[in-house]
Amino acid sequence: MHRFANPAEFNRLADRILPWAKLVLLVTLGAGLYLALFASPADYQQGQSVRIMYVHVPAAWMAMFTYMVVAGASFTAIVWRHPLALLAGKAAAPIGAVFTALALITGSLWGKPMWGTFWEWDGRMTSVLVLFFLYLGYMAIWRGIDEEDKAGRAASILALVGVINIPIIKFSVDWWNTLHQPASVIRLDGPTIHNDMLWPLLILALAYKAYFVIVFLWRMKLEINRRKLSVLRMARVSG
Amino acid sequence: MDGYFEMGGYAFYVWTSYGVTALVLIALAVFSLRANAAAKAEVERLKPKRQKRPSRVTEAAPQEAP
Repeated sequence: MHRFANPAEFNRLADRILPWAKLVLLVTLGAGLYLALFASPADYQQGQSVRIMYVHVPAAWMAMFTYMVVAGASFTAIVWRHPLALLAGKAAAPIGAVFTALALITGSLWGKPMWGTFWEWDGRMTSVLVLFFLYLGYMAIWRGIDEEDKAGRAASILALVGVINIPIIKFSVDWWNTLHQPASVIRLDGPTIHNDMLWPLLILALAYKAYFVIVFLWRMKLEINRRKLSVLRMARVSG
Repeated sequence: MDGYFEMGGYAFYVWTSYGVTALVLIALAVFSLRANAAAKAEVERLKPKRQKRPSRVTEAAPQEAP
């Protein structure tokens, strides 16, 4: 693992992964959109509005997944002082914030026709909004503290404390039985959603994951270059 | 296909969801790519230039003994 602490080594690894991730994205996005928009049936209760699910649920899954990436990177950075781990958290956070915003926006666009409201302070919606603010807080700390290592440590601590919110999001639909429907895919007794709807959902979820890998690797390169820049600028000032 | 885009009366909600998703994800990707290109160009510009010794060599990872 420490081999990839070397930025040159990391860039080489990234360039090997990127073409495959792009291929996966292309295939899954095409197949997923076709299934989601054309081949899948309308819901017997929700009609055609159920098609919002195929962009809403993967965004929500990725919002939580990306948070665990940020938290995992933060943990690695604090415990092992792995030099690229801090940058990994910094690179992933904006992607997670975007997924969270999309989950909230598509959720309210689905809620309006189905529940009659864009927003309700229900357990699921409130805890996902908290997730969004955790991302913003993490990014604000990075921006707010000049010394990069200090900023990274402070942001990492916030990310780790915020992990408590992830199980709250997951179980919010069971604890507060209000508007948001309970889980129908990730359940102990197996999915309760019909296969014709499950497949487009899972395929598009894979497309979102491939998108994450691609943009994450791009942003890692960006953060490595930014770090190089600050070293070069420092050398100019002192030299 | 007739009436397909009306989405059973939910056209606004369905197409806005897909549209916003596409727009935001494309924007983030383009922004990330451009920011990296700009940072990379700036690194190249500030990098001390050495003659007869391509700076790549100093950048590369140390070679492991075979």
